[in-house]
Amino acid sequence: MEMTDVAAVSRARDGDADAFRLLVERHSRAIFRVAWRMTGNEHDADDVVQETFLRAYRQIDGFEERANFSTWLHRIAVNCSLDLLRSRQRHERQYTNGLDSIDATSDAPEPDRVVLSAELQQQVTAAMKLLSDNERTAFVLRHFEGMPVEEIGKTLGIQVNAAKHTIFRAVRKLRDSLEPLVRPTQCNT
Amino acid sequence: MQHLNDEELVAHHYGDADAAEHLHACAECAARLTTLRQVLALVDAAEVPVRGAEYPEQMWNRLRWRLERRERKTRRWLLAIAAALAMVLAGGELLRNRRAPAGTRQPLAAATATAPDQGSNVLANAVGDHLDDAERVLTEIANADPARDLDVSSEQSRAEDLVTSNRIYRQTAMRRGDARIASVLSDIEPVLIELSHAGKLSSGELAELQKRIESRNLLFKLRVLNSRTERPNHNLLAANRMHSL
Repeated sequence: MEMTDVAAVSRARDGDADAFRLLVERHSRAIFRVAWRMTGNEHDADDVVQETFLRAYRQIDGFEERANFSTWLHRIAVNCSLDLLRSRQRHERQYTNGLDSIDATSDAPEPDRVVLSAELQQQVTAAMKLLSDNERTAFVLRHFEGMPVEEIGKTLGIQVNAAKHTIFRAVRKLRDSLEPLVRPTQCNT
Repeated sequence: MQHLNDEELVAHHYGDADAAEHLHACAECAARLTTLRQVLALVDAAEVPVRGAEYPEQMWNRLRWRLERRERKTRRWLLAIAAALAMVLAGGELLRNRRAPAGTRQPLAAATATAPDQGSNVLANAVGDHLDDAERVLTEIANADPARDLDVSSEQSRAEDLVTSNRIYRQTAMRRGDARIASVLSDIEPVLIELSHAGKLSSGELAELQKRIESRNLLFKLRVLNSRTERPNHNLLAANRMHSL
């Protein structure tokens, strides 16, 4: 029978490396996805995944067994991503090479997904690059992670209203950039 | 009819507000919502780079090394403290022996036998891990491209730790009369000190350091010493590493 996350955490706490390895194997790809969306860079995302599991290992005694391990881990990943983005801001480095290697590493998309042409993909990439780190984070947390606005505010250290506005600004920027691409579809329908 | 503003539309889309009634009655706002959703669908469709089936294994390999290093670091400090305590105990024993009346003195060898023998295992175990770490650092330097500057700022704290532990082990080895360990640790210490102070090595500094490592055969000495160092304790992660290889 497959070991549950909670059982694996319990064994990892007792020093069972194989149990922690199981958690890494089970969750690393999902954590990569959120890290990539937050950082927009594959190498950064890999670093965030690594840092997330290191922090999880250090903090594993603080994990409450009634909680969901995946949610707990995602929260750590979000914080690691934020730390990385803030560190990048401190070093005045600009987000330049965001979603730049999609074609090189992506597998074939699932059949039922909307498949974007290379040109559209580039435009979505360019639109995402226009978001500030805060806007990007707030948008990813709301749109992809489904995090409530209050939680986003806490995560970013801003008021609820400010979090709402940040999400709104992100969506508006995306809409301004991408709306011309969807209008022809509207006309045809 | 007053139309919904953009913020209200976004809030409705994410379920943070309910504007269904208005949207049902207002075709214009409904069309704007449709456009918004089409835009967001484009964002959803942007592909995330896929990490293949091998990714978890790769990630574990990266993590294992860092987790293992962290465990070793903690253990090394504990062992270093234990070794230092053993030295203190042995020193105290010697002192007491010297102060004792001539007839009651134990032979010197007997006086130093207990604590140093315990310290010997402790030292061998701790030094082995220390040598592993030092070898990794020196290998990274030796293999770096000498034509380019090398940023070693991320390795600074690691080098600082190594300098501290290197001193403890070197002094302990000298006191125990283990010239072989003491000599190698003396040889590598200047390089570790230099690394602990360097945030960034220019290509010239890097080349100079590589020359020193090579001319003094530091890596070779480290490897020979490491291979001859008995380490009775192997932690779980190390065992796991062997199992995975």
